Amino acid sequence: MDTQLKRGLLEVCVLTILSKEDSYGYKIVRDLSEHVEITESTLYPILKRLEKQSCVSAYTVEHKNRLRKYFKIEQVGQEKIQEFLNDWESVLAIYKFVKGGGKDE
Amino acid sequence: MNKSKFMSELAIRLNTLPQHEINKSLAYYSEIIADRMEDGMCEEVAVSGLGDIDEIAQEIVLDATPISKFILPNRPLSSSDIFFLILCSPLIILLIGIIFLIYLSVWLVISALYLVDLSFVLVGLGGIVASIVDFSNNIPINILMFFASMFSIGIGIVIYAPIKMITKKLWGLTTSVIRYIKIKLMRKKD
Repeated sequence: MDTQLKRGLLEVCVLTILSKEDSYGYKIVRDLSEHVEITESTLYPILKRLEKQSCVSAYTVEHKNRLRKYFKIEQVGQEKIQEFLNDWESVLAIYKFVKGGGKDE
Repeated sequence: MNKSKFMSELAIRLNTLPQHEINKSLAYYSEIIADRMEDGMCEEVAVSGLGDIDEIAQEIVLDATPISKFILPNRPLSSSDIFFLILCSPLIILLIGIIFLIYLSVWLVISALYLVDLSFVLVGLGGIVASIVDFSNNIPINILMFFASMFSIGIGIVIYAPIKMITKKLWGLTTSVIRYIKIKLMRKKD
């Protein structure tokens, strides 16, 4: 798969996980790996990018005498998910057209 | 490799980055390793499961370093460097200029597409207002104008999505090219 496309898809996947509840690095990977291939090393730049774009914000919580960084989805992030859904509806229509060899159903 | 060894090795590989970036990356990986261990993995497995440390460091450096840092040399320029730079400067300026102009013209075309799109919507809105205001003077022409204006707005709305998609694709392409150049320059510097 095209790297740029994969990055974009993973960003939306991370946002979707965060739209359910605030979460932290390891849990995001664990929850996502049931659906897509992702590692902790892949997640790090994604979280950084999402934070830079104000799609998510971060806060730290003390957990067993250490700090854990939680991520929370912001309005911009919610809009990004919606934008993805809208865009892919038209992409899916094109996919069906191409897969059907250009024939009408 | 244990956790403290991994952290110190990673810090060494990230030494070209600003200190706050290094601290941020180390904090992230420290948390991840601790979480993996808390999940029942032994320290060695928790660290080795993260993948190759060189690849991890390369990703972080690529992401956190602006392209200018890769282009500009770390050491001061020698007199021979300056001589060759002056000698090649017309060619370098010309080459960068051409690339920049081509890139700029692509964005100008996209801006023009947005303006065309906006004009369809504005003409449509103007047409609707005019046909309503002037309705009683020439009813058939104004009905025709009303529907033509609606059609114009419709075109404006329909073509917005493809123009937006082209913009996104071009931005994605720009990011990919910058990343590719960064990787090439980084390998050359190593």
